[in-house]
Amino acid sequence: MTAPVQTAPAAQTPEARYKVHASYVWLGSAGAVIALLFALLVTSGGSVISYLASGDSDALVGLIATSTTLFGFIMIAAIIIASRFFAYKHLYFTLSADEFCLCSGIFNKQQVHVPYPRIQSVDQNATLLQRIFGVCTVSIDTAGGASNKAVQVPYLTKAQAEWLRTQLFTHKMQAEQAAVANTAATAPATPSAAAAAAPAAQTGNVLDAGKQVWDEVGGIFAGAPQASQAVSYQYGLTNKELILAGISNNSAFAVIVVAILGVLAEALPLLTDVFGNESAHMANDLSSAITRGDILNTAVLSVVGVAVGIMVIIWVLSIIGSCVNYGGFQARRRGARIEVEHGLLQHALQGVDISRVQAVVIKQTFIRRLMGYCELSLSRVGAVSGDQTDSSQKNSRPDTGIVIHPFLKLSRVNEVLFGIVPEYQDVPQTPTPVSPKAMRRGLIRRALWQGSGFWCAVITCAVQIITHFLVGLDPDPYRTDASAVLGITDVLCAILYVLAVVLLVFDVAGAILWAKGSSFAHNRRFMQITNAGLSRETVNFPRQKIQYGCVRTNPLQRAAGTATICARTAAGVGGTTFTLIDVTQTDADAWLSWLEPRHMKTVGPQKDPVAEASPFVPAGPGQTPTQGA
Amino acid sequence: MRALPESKLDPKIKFVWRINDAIWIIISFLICFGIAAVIAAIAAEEGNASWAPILLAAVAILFAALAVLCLIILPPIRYARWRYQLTDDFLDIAKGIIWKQRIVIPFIRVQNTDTRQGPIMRAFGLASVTVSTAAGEHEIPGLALAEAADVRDKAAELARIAREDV
Repeated sequence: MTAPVQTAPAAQTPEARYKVHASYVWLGSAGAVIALLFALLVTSGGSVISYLASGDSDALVGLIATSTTLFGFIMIAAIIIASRFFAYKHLYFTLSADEFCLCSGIFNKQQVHVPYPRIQSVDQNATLLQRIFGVCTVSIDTAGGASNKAVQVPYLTKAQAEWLRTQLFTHKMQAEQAAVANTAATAPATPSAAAAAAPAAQTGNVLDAGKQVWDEVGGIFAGAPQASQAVSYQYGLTNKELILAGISNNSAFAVIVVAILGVLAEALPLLTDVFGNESAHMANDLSSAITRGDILNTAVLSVVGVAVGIMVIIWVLSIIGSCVNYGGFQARRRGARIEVEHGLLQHALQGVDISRVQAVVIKQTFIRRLMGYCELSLSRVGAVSGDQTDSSQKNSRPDTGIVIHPFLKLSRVNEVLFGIVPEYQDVPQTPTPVSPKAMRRGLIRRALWQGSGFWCAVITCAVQIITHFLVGLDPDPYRTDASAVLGITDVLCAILYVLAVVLLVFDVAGAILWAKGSSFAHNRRFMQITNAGLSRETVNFPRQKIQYGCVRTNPLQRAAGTATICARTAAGVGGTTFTLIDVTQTDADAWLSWLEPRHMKTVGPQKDPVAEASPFVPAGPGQTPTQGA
Repeated sequence: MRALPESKLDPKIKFVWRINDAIWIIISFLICFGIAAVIAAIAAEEGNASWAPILLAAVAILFAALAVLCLIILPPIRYARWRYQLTDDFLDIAKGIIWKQRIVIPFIRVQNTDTRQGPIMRAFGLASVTVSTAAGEHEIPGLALAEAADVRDKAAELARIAREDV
């Protein structure tokens, strides 16, 4: 039975079994077969070639060996393909009235049931190969705590995937509205999005052309694009944003630079040895060696030039890689869900329902902060993506949530947020700063107890003292290498002391900026925590998503009249605690009172039980669940 | 300053803590003392064992001090500082001797509640109530059985009324 997906979604019978695309068999086994072939070539290729090269004396043996290997290879490949074929035969999913069900397994049958209201988010990933053939993998996340895995439906055509996503979200919304109707008699009418009426002006970049090509060509089995709910707000990246995001998003670059510098440092003495032999004195000192002759000079210069060239090339390549990864970036609001897609070669589409968003995070790294830009992301309950066949890109950044804008000017944050998550438009605007005592305590904490510079200096000092002590213990005062060891140690320690001072300066600057810029705020429905410093992170989250709150004090804090507040949410894998150290004791107490549900009912400014129960119930035009049909 | 929660644990929990601490202190004391004794014996073989009694005495004194601290000094203070309160909507916990904590858990966030009972607690007729949210759990360690069941059922009931997902 092939998938009846291209028909109208409403026409499907409730218990129809949908199969994934047939490319599951050959595209899925292609990878394994190629890997097998490669392994075969590596292990036995050498011996086969030597047989062939040795002439006709061993021709028969060579022939037998080759044919046996070939036969074995074909047998194993056939077994792989056959197992994929039978697995494909027994892999299907159903969409019943109240749950999604994925059935798989040849001998060990497995059925995964996902009730619609439990769906956290629906993601869609495609490798380059899958993308060429227009298929993708859909993963359905549920909030199952730390041990849960996303349910993965592999090898769906793009049309099927879009249809499935729409179906899942529609069912989910219907189920939730039924639940709301049971508890509250009236239909919810939360303040609707002001910005939703007017979609933002289209911004674009050079790589969007590539995305359009993909969209038009689609891939071989992609199928016709599915009609879906209306998009209320969407944006892409401008050229500038794309390139800046690419430049600032390669952390691997620093590692490469360090590695190349290390190799260079190893190679330079070798070079001086090779080229310095003709001169009378051995070149111990590099600076004198460079002045020694033209040959040496040019050799060193060329090595340095090549190294710098390689670095520049790698850097540019990594920037291009990041840009391609962000290419075709598009974030949009569609009904109650937020969709982000990116990746020119490896395509990823992340979709999350607004009620599943745990927090909105505005993050500024040091460089972004200098330029006045930030990264905007949504936290959600994370599933463990420990699938063995999963692409590595999901594992590399597990906790960042969904990046809805990688490089956004700070002045546009409100505009974008109100467009894509209008539910967050009344986040608190009057932050409470940390206690005045926090400056002193922050300096001591960040520059001393947790200060990288301080501990660097302490360890260096200890090493220096121990070295001097050990050398001083040496009974033979006439040994010449003792003073040499001491000299090298002192030079190294001096370098480390300078490094420690630099680090200490950064620590102190970070501590002062932290104390000046950190704050928290709460109003009727939202809470905001800002932790500043050299980098800066602001987290907005609804009161509804705080699982529990905790105020901690240690004796020193009690003496200073401060306390640490911790708001625990379920974001990420196994939960995330948003923490702010050293708010004043009275502010912390007020915050705890704010967290009490009873407090909200009696003291809160307006009593609005429906909105209180679910501030995220979507309202406004274009958001009714029947829109997609 | 927020008023402290009203309910206290069952006083018998102090004995449970003492027995628990005594068990691990005795076990680790036997291990450490055994190792020290072996070292002393090896040193005696070689002839210079003048420091061996000092080592053994030091280990014994260390563990005696630990025993006094954990069995006599800490339990009453810990008991006095451990407070909780169940209101209609939330669970309020205050605990900690040096690092004090104040925790507010709204019942609408509670996923499940259960009572647990180990052999020592059972001997004293106590049970602990665990309240789990979507991001971590909290334990009220020592309540009389009936009270624990009551707390558990109340929390579960309140959590069921205000059902809401993460």
